[in-house]
Amino acid sequence: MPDLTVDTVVLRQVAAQVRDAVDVLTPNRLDATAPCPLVDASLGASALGREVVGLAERRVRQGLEAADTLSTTARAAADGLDQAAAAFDDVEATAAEPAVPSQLPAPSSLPAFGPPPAAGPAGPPRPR
Amino acid sequence: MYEHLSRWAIFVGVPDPVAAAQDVLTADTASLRAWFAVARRLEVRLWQGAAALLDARAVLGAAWSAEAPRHLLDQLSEAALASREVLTAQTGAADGCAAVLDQASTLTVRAFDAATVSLAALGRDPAEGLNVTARALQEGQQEPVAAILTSLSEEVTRLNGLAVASLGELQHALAGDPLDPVERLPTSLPGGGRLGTGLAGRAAAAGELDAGLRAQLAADAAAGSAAGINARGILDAVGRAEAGGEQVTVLAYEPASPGQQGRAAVALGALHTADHVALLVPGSFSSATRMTTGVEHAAALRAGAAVASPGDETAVVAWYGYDTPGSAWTDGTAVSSVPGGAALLAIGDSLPLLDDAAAAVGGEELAADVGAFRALAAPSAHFSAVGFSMGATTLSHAAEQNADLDDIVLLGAPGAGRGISSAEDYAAVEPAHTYVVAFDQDPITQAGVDVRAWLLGDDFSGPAAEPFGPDPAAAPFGAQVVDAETNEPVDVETPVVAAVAGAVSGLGGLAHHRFGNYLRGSSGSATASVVTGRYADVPTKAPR
Repeated sequence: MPDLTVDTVVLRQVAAQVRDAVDVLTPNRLDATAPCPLVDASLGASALGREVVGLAERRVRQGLEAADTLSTTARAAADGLDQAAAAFDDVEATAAEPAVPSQLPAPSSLPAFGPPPAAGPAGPPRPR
Repeated sequence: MYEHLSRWAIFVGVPDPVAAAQDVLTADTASLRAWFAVARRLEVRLWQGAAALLDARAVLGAAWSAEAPRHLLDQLSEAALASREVLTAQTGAADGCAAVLDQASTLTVRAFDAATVSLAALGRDPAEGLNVTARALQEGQQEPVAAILTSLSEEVTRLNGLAVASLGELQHALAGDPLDPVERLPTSLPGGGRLGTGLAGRAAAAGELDAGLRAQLAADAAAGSAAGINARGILDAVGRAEAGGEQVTVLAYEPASPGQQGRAAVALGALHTADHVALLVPGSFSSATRMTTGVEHAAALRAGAAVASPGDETAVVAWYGYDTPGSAWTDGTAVSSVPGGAALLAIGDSLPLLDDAAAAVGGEELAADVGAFRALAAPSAHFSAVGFSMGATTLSHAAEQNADLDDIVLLGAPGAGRGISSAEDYAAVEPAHTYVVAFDQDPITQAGVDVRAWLLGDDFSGPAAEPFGPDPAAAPFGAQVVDAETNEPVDVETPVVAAVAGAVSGLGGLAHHRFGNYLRGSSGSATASVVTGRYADVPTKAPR
């Protein structure tokens, strides 16, 4: 079974950072509940005008749902990280020879945030 | 304010510039900007959220060597950036469109004012009476007045063209769905645990509903009763659709019983992520037992929707939720449930063919089901329904009873239902979003069907009565009448249907009156365009 390298203190810091992302991603209440001010003929009575009004309302609402879904998913991920940290702490407390940073086997009881390890990819470029 | 320009233009035979400028002058750009300000704020949130997730991801590498958590944060930040990119293009296009519309409006008003001044120089007063104008034109002003108004009309047409072009650009930019990148995210954590509530919750709810109803169908299918025949028919339709590669969700099922044909609704496509959801409402002689036909129609409409609006996702629901008249002739349940009484039951089942009573009851059920299906779909989903024949009358009743639909399409309707005088009577659907297709060759859409129903029925006051309500393709109804031609006539499916339909209506040309005929060719394309909200692609014509 491959080993995991875990620092639960930092892991909790990461969870807190992800919660910061949750706060940012959550649409404000006014936007989330705002009625669309556009009505059917707001951009003219033509079929094109009515079509654009329908599309405009739908796309902004889909954007709101996208942000809401991302924030909810990120919140679940933050919770998962905290639970993982707690589970690692429990395992470490009962381990015979703990080390810091821990060199722990991946117990089947841990929140299996997937298979271990190997060096991860660099990830996407940070927005500038 | 510029009525004098209209009056003089009509007088000298020039296209009315004020009417041509109406859309430009009334465009509500303030609302357009206000709505996309919401999107602008979302852009910022998605950008900052992606940055925060990437910051967390960078630290996570030092805290936990496992790859999966990092990968999840990567996916989240990528999805946030991708959604933002879509919104950025759309807010930019909306700002550009609003600017063009404002400019076109300003220039139009300026052109109107300039024309008024030029006409005043000829002595024309906006407040003058028609007799004064007429005298002036007779005295040599016809040509200069016409020249000024012709020039004005051309300028207004040019400005209107700019406005239409900017709307077209905005329409193009709005093709992208900012929710798409998020829909591609996993719905559960790598080690278990569900992510999200809205999207994932809807998927879970639809999945649980589907599993429960399939279990009930499987149990009922083992029975030899009407319920068994009915359940086997539904499962057969579901199996065929799945074999054809469709994602199928059973949304409603109530078993058949003697005298009740049962109810069922099956969705093709992912209801919980669909941009557009359309319900198909069949007509007389249909039943859930023979749902394969409805599922084939749903698949055809889904394919048409993919052509009409590439990139959008459309789910189509084959809805068999009302007691369709005449179904006992075709679904086999009558024979099994009432031995020896099959013919009697079938005849009894045909009497509702003579009026819209079944449609009125069905309309209530349809309105309720639309609400239930809405709860399983995205809040932003565009909902429409397409009814054929008695199904169109049923849909019309549902629209009157506040069915939460954005658009309706009435195909081959014998009438819009008694008590409904015009599209203005619909509670939730605007006349501009009420579409009607009535082939000239389809006898069921003609007035004769009402007269024959009166002759056969017994509760009408005379041949002037409309047992199915007014013709929705007629001018007084006020709907959008689609300009579509019938397709090659198809053979009537079974001799018994032809015999019964012919006996009841006494009408020829029924080959044109088929759901499949209406869902093909130009009618099918127009229906797919309505279902996907592509109104500019729907050809309309003058009503009857």
